[in-house]
Amino acid sequence: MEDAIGVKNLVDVRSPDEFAGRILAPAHLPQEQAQRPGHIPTALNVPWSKAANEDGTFRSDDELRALYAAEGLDESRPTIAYCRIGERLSHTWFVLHELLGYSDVKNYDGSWTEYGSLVGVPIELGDGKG
Amino acid sequence: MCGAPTQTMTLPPGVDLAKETVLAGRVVAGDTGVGGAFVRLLDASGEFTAEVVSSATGDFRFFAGPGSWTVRALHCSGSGSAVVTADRPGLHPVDVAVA
Repeated sequence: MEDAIGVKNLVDVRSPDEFAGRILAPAHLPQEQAQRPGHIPTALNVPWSKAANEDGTFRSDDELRALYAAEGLDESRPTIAYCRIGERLSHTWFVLHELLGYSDVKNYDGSWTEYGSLVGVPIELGDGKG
Repeated sequence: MCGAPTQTMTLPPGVDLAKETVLAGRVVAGDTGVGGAFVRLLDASGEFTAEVVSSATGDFRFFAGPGSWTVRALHCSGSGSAVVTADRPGLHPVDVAVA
Protein backbone atom coordinates (compact mmCIF):
# COMPACT_ATOMS: atom_id res chain seq x y z
CA MET A 1 0.00 0.00 0.00
CA GLU A 2 2.86 2.37 0.69
CA ASP A 3 3.96 2.02 -2.94
CA ALA A 4 0.51 3.18 -4.06
CA ILE A 5 0.74 6.53 -2.24
CA GLY A 6 0.76 9.27 -4.84
CA VAL A 7 0.66 6.71 -7.67
CA LYS A 8 -2.81 5.18 -7.54
CA ASN A 9 -6.16 6.58 -6.52
CA LEU A 10 -6.66 5.65 -2.88
CA VAL A 11 -10.31 5.96 -1.93
CA ASP A 12 -11.07 5.92 1.80
CA VAL A 13 -14.78 5.10 1.99
CA ARG A 14 -15.13 5.52 5.76
CA SER A 15 -17.08 8.36 7.37
CA PRO A 16 -15.40 11.78 7.54
CA ASP A 17 -14.84 11.47 11.29
CA GLU A 18 -13.03 8.15 10.84
CA PHE A 19 -10.96 9.59 7.97
CA ALA A 20 -9.95 12.56 10.10
CA GLY A 21 -9.10 10.35 13.07
CA ARG A 22 -11.79 11.69 15.40
CA ILE A 23 -13.35 8.24 15.75
CA LEU A 24 -11.78 4.81 15.13
CA ALA A 25 -14.69 2.63 14.07
CA PRO A 26 -18.13 2.97 12.55
CA ALA A 27 -20.33 4.39 15.26
CA HIS A 28 -22.38 1.31 16.08
CA LEU A 29 -19.23 -0.25 17.56
CA PRO A 30 -17.22 0.65 20.67
CA GLN A 31 -14.40 3.00 19.77
CA GLU A 32 -11.52 1.54 21.74
CA GLN A 33 -9.34 -0.01 19.04
CA ALA A 34 -5.73 -1.04 18.73
CA GLN A 35 -5.06 0.95 15.58
CA ARG A 36 -3.80 4.46 15.23
CA PRO A 37 -6.40 6.95 13.99
CA GLY A 38 -6.16 8.71 10.63
CA HIS A 39 -5.86 7.86 6.95
CA ILE A 40 -3.32 6.94 4.27
CA PRO A 41 -1.63 10.04 2.81
CA THR A 42 -3.10 11.19 -0.54
CA ALA A 43 -6.31 9.20 0.05
CA LEU A 44 -9.58 10.74 -1.09
CA ASN A 45 -12.42 10.54 1.41
CA VAL A 46 -15.57 9.49 -0.43
CA PRO A 47 -17.84 7.77 2.11
CA TRP A 48 -19.48 4.73 0.54
CA SER A 49 -22.87 6.12 1.47
CA LYS A 50 -22.46 9.04 -0.93
CA ALA A 51 -23.03 6.59 -3.77
CA ALA A 52 -26.50 5.80 -2.48
CA ASN A 53 -29.75 7.68 -2.36
CA GLU A 54 -31.56 7.93 0.97
CA ASP A 55 -33.84 5.05 -0.02
CA GLY A 56 -30.81 2.79 -0.51
CA THR A 57 -30.77 2.76 -4.33
CA PHE A 58 -27.63 3.68 -6.26
CA ARG A 59 -27.29 7.17 -7.66
CA SER A 60 -27.30 7.50 -11.45
CA ASP A 61 -24.11 6.81 -13.43
CA ASP A 62 -23.76 10.52 -14.24
CA GLU A 63 -24.12 11.49 -10.59
CA LEU A 64 -21.61 8.83 -9.54
CA ARG A 65 -19.04 9.86 -12.14
CA ALA A 66 -19.42 13.50 -11.08
CA LEU A 67 -19.12 12.56 -7.39
CA TYR A 68 -15.75 10.83 -7.76
CA ALA A 69 -14.45 13.40 -10.24
CA ALA A 70 -15.29 16.22 -7.84
CA GLU A 71 -13.31 14.44 -5.10
CA GLY A 72 -10.29 14.17 -7.38
CA LEU A 73 -10.40 10.61 -8.71
CA ASP A 74 -8.10 10.33 -11.75
CA GLU A 75 -9.79 7.94 -14.19
CA SER A 76 -6.49 7.21 -15.93
CA ARG A 77 -4.95 5.66 -12.81
CA PRO A 78 -5.63 2.36 -11.03
CA THR A 79 -7.76 2.65 -7.90
CA ILE A 80 -7.62 0.98 -4.49
CA ALA A 81 -10.54 1.31 -2.10
CA TYR A 82 -10.25 0.76 1.64
CA CYS A 83 -12.35 1.12 4.78
CA ARG A 84 -11.85 -0.46 8.23
CA ILE A 85 -12.24 -4.22 7.76
CA GLY A 86 -13.21 -4.50 4.12
CA GLU A 87 -17.00 -4.51 4.13
CA ARG A 88 -17.97 -0.98 3.19
CA LEU A 89 -15.37 -0.83 0.42
CA SER A 90 -17.19 -3.63 -1.42
CA HIS A 91 -20.05 -1.19 -2.04
CA THR A 92 -17.66 1.33 -3.57
CA TRP A 93 -15.83 -1.39 -5.55
CA PHE A 94 -19.15 -2.37 -7.09
CA VAL A 95 -19.88 1.24 -8.01
CA LEU A 96 -16.46 1.88 -9.56
CA HIS A 97 -15.95 -1.47 -11.28
CA GLU A 98 -19.43 -2.70 -12.13
CA LEU A 99 -21.50 0.47 -12.54
CA LEU A 100 -18.91 2.92 -13.87
CA GLY A 101 -16.80 0.29 -15.61
CA TYR A 102 -13.34 1.28 -14.39
CA SER A 103 -11.18 -1.74 -15.16
CA ASP A 104 -8.44 -1.53 -12.51
CA VAL A 105 -10.16 -1.26 -9.13
CA LYS A 106 -8.93 -3.28 -6.16
CA ASN A 107 -10.00 -3.79 -2.57
CA TYR A 108 -7.44 -3.39 0.19
CA ASP A 109 -8.72 -6.27 2.26
CA GLY A 110 -6.58 -5.46 5.30
CA SER A 111 -7.91 -1.90 5.23
CA TRP A 112 -7.44 0.38 8.21
CA THR A 113 -7.28 -2.46 10.72
CA GLU A 114 -4.05 -3.57 9.04
CA TYR A 115 -2.63 -0.25 7.88
CA GLY A 116 -3.35 1.52 11.16
CA SER A 117 -1.52 -1.27 13.00
CA LEU A 118 1.66 -1.22 10.88
CA VAL A 119 4.88 0.16 12.28
CA GLY A 120 6.66 2.92 10.39
CA VAL A 121 4.07 3.74 7.74
CA PRO A 122 3.02 7.32 7.02
CA ILE A 123 -0.35 8.33 8.47
CA GLU A 124 -2.19 11.61 8.18
CA LEU A 125 -4.71 13.12 10.58
CA GLY A 126 -7.41 15.67 9.84
CA ASP A 127 -9.88 16.40 7.08
CA GLY A 128 -7.45 17.65 4.46
CA LYS A 129 -6.41 15.65 1.43
CA GLY A 130 -2.76 15.40 1.06
CA MET B 1 -22.21 -3.11 7.84
CA CYS B 2 -19.50 -4.47 10.09
CA GLY B 3 -22.11 -6.63 11.81
CA ALA B 4 -24.28 -4.14 13.67
CA PRO B 5 -25.20 -5.88 16.93
CA THR B 6 -28.72 -6.33 18.23
CA GLN B 7 -29.77 -3.05 19.83
CA THR B 8 -30.52 -3.07 23.55
CA MET B 9 -30.32 -0.50 26.31
CA THR B 10 -27.80 -2.65 28.17
CA LEU B 11 -24.26 -1.69 27.27
CA PRO B 12 -21.93 -4.52 26.25
CA PRO B 13 -19.49 -5.63 28.95
CA GLY B 14 -16.20 -3.77 28.90
CA VAL B 15 -17.57 -0.47 27.64
CA ASP B 16 -15.85 2.28 29.61
CA LEU B 17 -18.13 5.32 29.77
CA ALA B 18 -15.17 7.40 30.89
CA LYS B 19 -13.78 6.91 27.38
CA GLU B 20 -16.74 6.11 25.15
CA THR B 21 -19.24 8.71 23.98
CA VAL B 22 -22.47 6.71 23.77
CA LEU B 23 -25.63 8.09 22.17
CA ALA B 24 -28.60 5.95 23.09
CA GLY B 25 -32.35 6.18 23.06
CA ARG B 26 -35.58 5.03 21.49
CA VAL B 27 -37.47 5.60 18.29
CA VAL B 28 -40.98 6.47 19.43
CA ALA B 29 -44.40 7.21 18.00
CA GLY B 30 -46.23 8.87 20.86
CA ASP B 31 -45.28 6.77 23.88
CA THR B 32 -44.75 3.58 21.89
CA GLY B 33 -41.35 2.31 20.86
CA VAL B 34 -40.96 1.72 17.12
CA GLY B 35 -39.03 -1.42 16.22
CA GLY B 36 -37.44 -2.12 12.86
CA ALA B 37 -36.68 1.51 12.04
CA PHE B 38 -33.48 2.40 10.21
CA VAL B 39 -31.63 4.72 12.56
CA ARG B 40 -28.87 6.78 10.97
CA LEU B 41 -26.20 8.79 12.69
CA LEU B 42 -25.13 11.94 10.85
CA ASP B 43 -22.08 13.98 11.79
CA ALA B 44 -21.97 17.74 12.35
CA SER B 45 -21.80 18.32 8.59
CA GLY B 46 -24.80 16.08 7.96
CA GLU B 47 -22.71 13.22 6.53
CA PHE B 48 -23.74 9.61 7.11
CA THR B 49 -21.64 7.98 9.83
CA ALA B 50 -23.45 4.77 10.77
CA GLU B 51 -26.78 2.98 10.69
CA VAL B 52 -28.48 0.45 12.95
CA VAL B 53 -31.95 -1.06 13.10
CA SER B 54 -33.99 -0.27 16.20
CA SER B 55 -34.86 -3.21 18.45
CA ALA B 56 -38.40 -4.51 18.88
CA THR B 57 -38.85 -1.95 21.65
CA GLY B 58 -37.38 0.87 19.55
CA ASP B 59 -33.97 0.99 21.20
CA PHE B 60 -30.80 2.07 19.41
CA ARG B 61 -27.23 2.93 20.41
CA PHE B 62 -24.19 4.54 18.81
CA PHE B 63 -20.59 4.87 19.93
CA ALA B 64 -19.52 8.27 18.68
CA GLY B 65 -17.13 10.94 19.87
CA PRO B 66 -17.61 14.33 21.46
CA GLY B 67 -19.44 16.67 19.08
CA SER B 68 -22.82 17.51 17.63
CA TRP B 69 -24.74 14.65 16.04
CA THR B 70 -28.05 14.17 14.29
CA VAL B 71 -29.97 10.93 14.71
CA ARG B 72 -32.43 10.29 11.87
CA ALA B 73 -34.97 7.49 11.96
CA LEU B 74 -36.79 6.09 8.92
CA HIS B 75 -39.72 3.72 9.28
CA CYS B 76 -42.67 2.79 7.11
CA SER B 77 -44.87 4.69 9.58
CA GLY B 78 -42.86 7.90 9.24
CA SER B 79 -39.55 9.58 9.87
CA GLY B 80 -38.00 12.04 12.26
CA SER B 81 -34.73 13.35 13.57
CA ALA B 82 -33.16 14.70 16.72
CA VAL B 83 -29.97 16.60 17.45
CA VAL B 84 -27.77 15.66 20.38
CA THR B 85 -24.71 17.54 21.56
CA ALA B 86 -22.24 15.34 23.39
CA ASP B 87 -19.66 17.60 24.98
CA ARG B 88 -17.78 14.80 26.72
CA PRO B 89 -17.60 11.00 26.97
CA GLY B 90 -20.46 9.30 28.79
CA LEU B 91 -24.02 8.25 28.09
CA HIS B 92 -26.05 10.82 26.17
CA PRO B 93 -29.76 10.00 25.90
CA VAL B 94 -31.67 10.94 22.75
CA ASP B 95 -35.12 9.85 21.61
CA VAL B 96 -36.38 10.26 18.06
CA ALA B 97 -40.07 10.77 17.39
CA VAL B 98 -41.35 9.55 14.04
CA ALA B 99 -44.55 10.77 12.43
